[in-house]
Amino acid sequence: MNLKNLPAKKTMKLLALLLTSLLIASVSAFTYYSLTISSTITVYAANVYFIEGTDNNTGPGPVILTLDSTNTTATITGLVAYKNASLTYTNVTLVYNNGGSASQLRLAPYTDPSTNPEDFVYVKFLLNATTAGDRRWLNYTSDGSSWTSPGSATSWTTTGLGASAMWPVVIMTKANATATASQTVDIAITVDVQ
Amino acid sequence: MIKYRREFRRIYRSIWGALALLILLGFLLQNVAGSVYYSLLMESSMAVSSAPVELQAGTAGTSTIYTNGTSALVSLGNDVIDYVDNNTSDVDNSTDVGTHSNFTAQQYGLDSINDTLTEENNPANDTIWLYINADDETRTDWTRVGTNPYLDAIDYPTNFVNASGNNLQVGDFNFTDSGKSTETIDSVTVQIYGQQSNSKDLEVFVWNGSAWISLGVQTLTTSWRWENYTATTILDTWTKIDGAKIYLVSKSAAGTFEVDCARLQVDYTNPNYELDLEVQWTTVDYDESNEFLCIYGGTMGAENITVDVWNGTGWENVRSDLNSGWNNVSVSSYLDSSNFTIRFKGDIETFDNATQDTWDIDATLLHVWTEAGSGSGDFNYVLNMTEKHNSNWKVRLKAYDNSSLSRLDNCSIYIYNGSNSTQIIILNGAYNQQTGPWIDLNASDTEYTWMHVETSSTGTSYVYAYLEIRVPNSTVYARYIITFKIT
Repeated sequence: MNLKNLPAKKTMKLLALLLTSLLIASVSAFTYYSLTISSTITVYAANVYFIEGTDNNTGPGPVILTLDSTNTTATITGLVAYKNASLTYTNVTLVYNNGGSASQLRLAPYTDPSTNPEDFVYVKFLLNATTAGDRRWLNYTSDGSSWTSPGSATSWTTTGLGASAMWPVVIMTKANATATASQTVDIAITVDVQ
Repeated sequence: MIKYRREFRRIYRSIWGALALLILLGFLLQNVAGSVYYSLLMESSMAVSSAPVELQAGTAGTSTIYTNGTSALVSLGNDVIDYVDNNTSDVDNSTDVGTHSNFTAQQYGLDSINDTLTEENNPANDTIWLYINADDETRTDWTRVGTNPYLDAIDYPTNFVNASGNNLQVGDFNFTDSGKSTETIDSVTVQIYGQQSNSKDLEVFVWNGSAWISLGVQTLTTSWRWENYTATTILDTWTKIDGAKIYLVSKSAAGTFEVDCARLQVDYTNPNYELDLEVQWTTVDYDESNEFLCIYGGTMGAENITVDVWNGTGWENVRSDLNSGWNNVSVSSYLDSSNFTIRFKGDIETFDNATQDTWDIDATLLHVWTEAGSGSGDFNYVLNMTEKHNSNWKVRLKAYDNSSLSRLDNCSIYIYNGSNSTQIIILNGAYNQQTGPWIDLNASDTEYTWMHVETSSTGTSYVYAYLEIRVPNSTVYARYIITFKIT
């Protein structure tokens, strides 16, 4: 009996061919998608950037927001921290998506605080997404003698900042009850966009 | 058949190869995707500043304002547990009697760690006289007048004995039993009440249980009086004392011997277990509606332990005994100053020679309280807030947590700034309004908070609230924590 003549032999060959085809198709698709993303980054200006919030130039302080020409760097001055009381800046600046599709965001530490830990209790940054599941916190806390900074970036949002949507970056401060007035601390973070 | 197997092997190899390639490409794709992002930089700088509004204590209830006036505890009604402070007082100028094993244990608990109060033995010296109660009349040299036992009392000339002549004996006379066995014997003396017309000697012999021992001679005077014959070393036990008997011997032929009475004088020391321990509070809250002394007893001695309260001039009893467990008694009528003193005292303090009692005390405290809802229920000016930055603000109260709300029939918190603004309402144990409306707090203004409270039962409820202070036309706001404690 010749096994080559059996129907099963043909079926096996066909199955192997089919799997190989699927494999080639899959690999081709992934490769194409990756190249497309790279080209977007290099060619176009950022679609997601900072915009001014309603709390800009309001007291106490007052808080002043300065944006660079591309709105990709926000400098906030005039923030204050009250002794033994929390102070929340709800809407100094927002992250705005000017693109046509959703972008995933995360907060990441950039320059950690290094001065006056005895004067502060915490400085917290909240990416205040519309949906609770996309909100991200970056907390800097002091035990009175040293600062504790986040060791890494937050996780990426899951739903993301939709087209034409905007999320405020909330800032919360609190000074130590025995803090010295006018003592300062500087912190820089990044809002990463994917 | 071999060829058939070989073809299958090829198929398997192809499948495994394809899968491996897919996995490797999957990793590659993920890495590429994760690295594609850009960053927006946010630089921020902040400075410490004084808070714009300062909390200040009101005139109703009790407010504790914390550092910087940015948080507060408002207490309506009061509920204080005050453990005893010391055991060193001496308000009655009477030294403590007895001991504490661990006074600190009374200052904490309940924790089953006890301070054991132990009676102290303060021996009491005493004297007993055992009179003649029998005369066996075995020695008959003397004349007996009256009735047996002749020498049991000073009753001359009704009952007595007399003799004229030398070496005449009379006896034997027995003494009443002492009824004692444990007391320490200090001295024993045979006492003879007699006289001798010529002042001559009388010798006394005593029976020590096994032999007659001479106690020597004493010279009787010409008038009646007691003569002492020391027998301490001979009758050195209560058994010997109770078995003692004597006979008398005249030691002169001149004159007449007359004896009217005889007795044993026994000086002894009696154990006496006493307890008298003061304990004191020094900073008592003494103006509450309810004021109770609470003592938690553990294992208690058989003897009652009493508790007295110092009223400024003397002790007044408030407990005739303490039981195991809580012993609570109102002391409102005595608690009228910041110092409060009690004493633990044994119930039997005289001739308490049975047992050295002990009593375990786990905790001793004063529980004083006033219920907020028991009066009119209105507490004006419980807390003030004063603007300090010369700016205008919006303020409101927002309850964010609580405990034991169920006993609050009505707890309403208002801010008054010329008119009442109802901020928080709790009705029948539930929030009716948890966040108040924003109201103006203008530059340099002072506004105050007042409350209405009605409670359905005793206890302590807490309402934790934020005082939110917002910049007008802005969403920037500060939060102060205010705790409302309602007893």
